[in-house]
Amino acid sequence: LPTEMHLEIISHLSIPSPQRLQQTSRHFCSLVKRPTLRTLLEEESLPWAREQQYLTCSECVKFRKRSSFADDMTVGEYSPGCLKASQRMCIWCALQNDKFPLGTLMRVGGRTHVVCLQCGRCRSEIGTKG
Amino acid sequence: MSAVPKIQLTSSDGAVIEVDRPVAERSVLIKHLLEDLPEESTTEAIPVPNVNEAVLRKVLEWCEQHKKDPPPSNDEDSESRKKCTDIDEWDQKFMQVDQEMLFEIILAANYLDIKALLDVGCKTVANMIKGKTPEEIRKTFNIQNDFTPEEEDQIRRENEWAEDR
Repeated sequence: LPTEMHLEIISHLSIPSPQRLQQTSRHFCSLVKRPTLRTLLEEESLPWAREQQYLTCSECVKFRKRSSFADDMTVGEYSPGCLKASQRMCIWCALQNDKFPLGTLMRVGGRTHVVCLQCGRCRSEIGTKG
Repeated sequence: MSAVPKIQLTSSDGAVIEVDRPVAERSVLIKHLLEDLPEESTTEAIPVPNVNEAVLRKVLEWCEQHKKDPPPSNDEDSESRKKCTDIDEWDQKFMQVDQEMLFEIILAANYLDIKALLDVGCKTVANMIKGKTPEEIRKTFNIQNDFTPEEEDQIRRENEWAEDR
């Protein structure tokens, strides 16, 4: 099929299918574009994304599982389709951007996590060493 | 009531197929062509040079089935419609053909400008991709892996985010 038709078919695919197709050959690798923040934000409201528990991280511009976000980032104004969804950040990006100082407490999946004072990573138990 | 007007189409391999005009007019290309032709010349067979008989008959079978469909709505590029890969039952059966025929139908639908059929064809291919690993996709469509091992590894890592984790 001509490239034009490949693009038409790709337009019917949803994550992760285009990304898997991209891994098949150089031709498809060049055809599949990285999704934009806008596309991801539109798509996270769709049933399939909710089913997969995908949420957009605005910093790395990727879909990540709900468990990759602090609970605060997944509810209220940060819910899919809401005002601050475009500012949501996954835990890794938040750490990279110094949004969570050492010792910050947060809840992830209902469990308390802490940013370890020694290793600076997010840990599920207070008092453990990283 | 007057009889349904008929027209004739000639396939690339020279077969002449008679068909009800409204059925053929599912093709925007043929519809516009007929509109531009003076009334008396619509009795002549219209050549369809890019489509062979087997494919043309198949396409016309689809047009016959869908001749009463409402015209497509204007929000045709809305994301949700595109991502929805549901296909109605008749169309699913219709598309149970070998891959070569499936691709021929897609090309013909594109050439003849039958948007709904093009959509069904592309969705059928999309469904064949869905849920498969890159290796399985390659196998299904006979795609040559032309990455170097390094490139393949890099592209896999770049796409890890899209996978379950």
